[in-house]
Amino acid sequence: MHITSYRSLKIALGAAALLGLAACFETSGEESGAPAPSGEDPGQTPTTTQSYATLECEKEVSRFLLQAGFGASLDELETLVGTDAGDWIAAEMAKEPTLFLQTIVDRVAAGDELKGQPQTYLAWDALFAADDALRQRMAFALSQIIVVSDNTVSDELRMTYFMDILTRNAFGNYRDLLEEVTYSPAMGEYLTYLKNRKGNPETGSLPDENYARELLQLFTIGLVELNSDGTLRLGSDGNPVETYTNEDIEGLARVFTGLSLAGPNFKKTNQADPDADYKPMVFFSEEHELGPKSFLGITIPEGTTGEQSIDLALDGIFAHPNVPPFVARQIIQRFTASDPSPEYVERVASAFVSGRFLAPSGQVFGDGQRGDLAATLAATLLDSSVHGDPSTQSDGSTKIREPIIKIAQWVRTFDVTDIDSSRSMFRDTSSSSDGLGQHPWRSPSVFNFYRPSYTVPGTLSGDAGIVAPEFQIVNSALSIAFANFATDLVFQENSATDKGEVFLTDYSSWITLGLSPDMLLDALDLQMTAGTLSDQDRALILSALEEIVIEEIDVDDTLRRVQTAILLIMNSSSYGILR
Amino acid sequence: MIKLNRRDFLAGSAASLATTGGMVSSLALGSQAMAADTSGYKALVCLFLKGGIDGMDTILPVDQTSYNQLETLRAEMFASYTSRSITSRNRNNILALSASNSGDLGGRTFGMPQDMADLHNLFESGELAVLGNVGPLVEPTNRTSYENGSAHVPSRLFSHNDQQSTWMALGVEGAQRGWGGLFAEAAADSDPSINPLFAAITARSNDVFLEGETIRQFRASANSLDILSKRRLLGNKSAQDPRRDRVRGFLTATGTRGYSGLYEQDLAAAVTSGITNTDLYRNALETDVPTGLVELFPDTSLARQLSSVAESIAIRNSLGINRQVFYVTLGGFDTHAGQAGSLPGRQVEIAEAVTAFRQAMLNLGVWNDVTLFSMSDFGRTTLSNDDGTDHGWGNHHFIVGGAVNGQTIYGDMPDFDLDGERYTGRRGRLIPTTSVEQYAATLGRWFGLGETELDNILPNLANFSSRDLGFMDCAGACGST
Repeated sequence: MHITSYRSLKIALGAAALLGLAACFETSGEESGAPAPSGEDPGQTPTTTQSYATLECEKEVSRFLLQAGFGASLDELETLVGTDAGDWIAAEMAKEPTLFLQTIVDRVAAGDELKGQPQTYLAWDALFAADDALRQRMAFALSQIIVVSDNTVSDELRMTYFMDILTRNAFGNYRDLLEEVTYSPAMGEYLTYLKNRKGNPETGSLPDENYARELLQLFTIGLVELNSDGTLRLGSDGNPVETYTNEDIEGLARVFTGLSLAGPNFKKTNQADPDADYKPMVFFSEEHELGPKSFLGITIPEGTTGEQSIDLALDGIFAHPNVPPFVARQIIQRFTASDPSPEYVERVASAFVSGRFLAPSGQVFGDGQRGDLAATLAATLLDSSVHGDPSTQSDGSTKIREPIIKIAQWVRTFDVTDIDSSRSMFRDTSSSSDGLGQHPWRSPSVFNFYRPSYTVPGTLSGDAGIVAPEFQIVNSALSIAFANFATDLVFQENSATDKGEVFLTDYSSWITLGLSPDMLLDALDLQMTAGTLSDQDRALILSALEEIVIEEIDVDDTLRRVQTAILLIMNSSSYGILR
Repeated sequence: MIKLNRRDFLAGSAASLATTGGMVSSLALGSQAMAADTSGYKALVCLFLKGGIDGMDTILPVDQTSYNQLETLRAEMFASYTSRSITSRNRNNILALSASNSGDLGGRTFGMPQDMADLHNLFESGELAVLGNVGPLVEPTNRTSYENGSAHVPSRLFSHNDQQSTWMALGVEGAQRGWGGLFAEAAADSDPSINPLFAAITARSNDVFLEGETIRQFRASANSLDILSKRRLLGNKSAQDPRRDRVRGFLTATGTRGYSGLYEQDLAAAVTSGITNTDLYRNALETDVPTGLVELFPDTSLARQLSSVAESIAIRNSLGINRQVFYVTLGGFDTHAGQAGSLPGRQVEIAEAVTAFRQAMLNLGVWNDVTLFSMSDFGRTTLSNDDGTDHGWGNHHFIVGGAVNGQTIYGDMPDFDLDGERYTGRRGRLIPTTSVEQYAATLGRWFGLGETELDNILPNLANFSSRDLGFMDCAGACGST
């Protein structure tokens, strides 16, 4: 065998050397962490229990970047061993955000007629290539909690303005995020309170309740009272306690009346300002309910303006004890663990509450305000419960990978160039029969692609009571559809477009390894599954690869081996579940 | 608050019911002597209208008094239709239903908008029935018993996901077994010749309606594996290329494959069975679907789904199945705003798709054996918010098929006295007079299920006096009410 590139040698030797390195996944022993920085209010003591710091080995680097980003490049595998995971997070958070609106604005200014959903191609391109990987992951996670779908909101400017809100605030504060979302025309359109009028006693017409209901049910507190660890708080009768009644919804709905696009009046938009279509909505006092507004034990007094009412309403909702565990659990589910333990939820929720997270190596995440998402996310990613020995991870603390993230990981891992998502296969991947069952910013409804507590009837996990949200988009058709989608990518089918070739892959770093299926699998196992490819998966793939006989040193045959190996790993459960 | 009905209390301890209260009960299923009649072929097709279709804007009042009442209550909505130049809600244009039981309606008459002219024709021809004011109930309920709390009512009324789940599985989100899946399972349990792989087929999403104890829903699809079918991918060798067998062998390998994790094992099982079952299904499609069947359907989301259902029915003999439950969905009915702009188009889509489906069933000679029925999250408020409506409770639905006792309005069509016993105190939300479980039981009896099976699957059915609403013609086979 000829090793022709340094990288091939490096990963071949590196992967081989790693086999059997059990010490790799021992936790770093940071039990109860460092004390709070001196001078801090003791009530603000950051939570540091059960967190970890150093990325001890390549497998740890690989797993951490699969959890937090889109997998590790060969360079990262090389350079991040021995470094601190918290440093990586801090560096990511400091990166310039990749935003969307300005690109569309510039295109419009240049006379572009914006055909064919440019917002969705920008979203894909960011997942595939943006430098701020952690921010893009967080924006995608938030887009699955505070859902607006471009199925309904089709205006590109309005949609990208909303995408920017979630992206800009990805490491900001959840309270600020809620406020910007509330004023956004995208949410106003999606949940139908744009131009929502106050009740009319003469006709009996009442305000639209749509946003009031989903703001509570899906974005902030949920339907039933929670303990601080996210478990159900039971009432004295042993039953869950509902957080609100329909009367609360009717009261809260009165807050979201009188909002419309900036302009001369409630009904008409201002033709002089085309940007009013996507910029924050404004209040028209004649259509805002000025009577008292009562909900969740809060009463906003008669005569309060719309702006003040929103402030008071969001403050009141945000103070509800459900918010930290409700949000924390879903953030965890989008990154590291599909069914996080109550203890894990409590640790992350407590970072949400204190607004601060102190990493073992001393970095402080967050500004100390309740709802800080930097602290929440750092607590999520640095929790030792999702960094233990993979073979002993509990089921719930592993993550069912999402189809979109799998595809993005392939693009980023295999040095894909000429990324242009406007090629047809990314136009709409939401189909549940021949797509991915998931498309960025295109949920089928405000309830996201799957529900956070979905369990699959008649399965082992379901029978064990383990929730499996992402399995809600696994069915007999999608298993095949995913395999086909991945085949197209991996084998470079359909790369040719009328704009030239796109999504070209340079497999040269792996091709030499194709001569030795064993070494090839070592390398791919490290990058794709962080060393968790099961022995039987490996044996089955190995025998499939060995059927591809290489009679001479033939680049095409070795390339087929590489492609086949990648495709089969992507369709294995070792890959489907990140542990 | 979760309310328990009397039968739940008798059946088990309150503590264990705290998490399952009201859901489809699996107690005693499987251990019971099963008695489903599985002769001939029968299929149920559930059309789930997601978002909560406004039944009051689907079955409209025609008599002047009732029409005026609704027009007054929904002044802005009617004005919105007018301002959009949509005339299908003008009283003179509503297609009156000449119901065979018009004498029961107190002189009131009802009709469908012209957008649903095709369904109106099916009503008139006796193939479609309307079921008025049906919805989730634990026991008979009216405004008095609802307001004073004496009636046990379903949990989380007015919440989309929870009421979808309650319609499908008689419990809030998290319920694990739907009555569609359990109906299919009861039939399969009674007849070993039924292939359970294809007893419950969804044409779209994996919702809980089709989940049984052991029956898993199959997603109708004709996909094949490109990696196997595109020969050049693995090299230009013959179709018997062993590489293909190896790749296929990997993708369909069964067993635990060394996985200790439950997620891994579940995912592997789903992928393996998905590929294997789809191969079986696709092979049958290639040989058994008559030419021209698919071409009957227009190119809409719902029609494409019903086209898949028609294909599945066409290959029923190859699949070895004579009792099937299907599930199709159409979204976009959560019309908080702009109802006049969006509802008529969707009503057209429903009417056209159902009409095409009827023709396909006639061509296959099974129209008397197939019953399609509608469900939805909830009805909507009588009082509008400007040009939209909010989440309600009771709703009007339709049942269509060759075995339907059509041209009749079943259930109850409440008048528009919002202060009366048929409405909650706020916004004119209809309190159902017929329960989802009565609706299901009537379909289940026609499907061939016995009374014990129905009681097992529908835990609150015994709380209602009528177990058969009469809209299905069982040719004497479903017993008396």
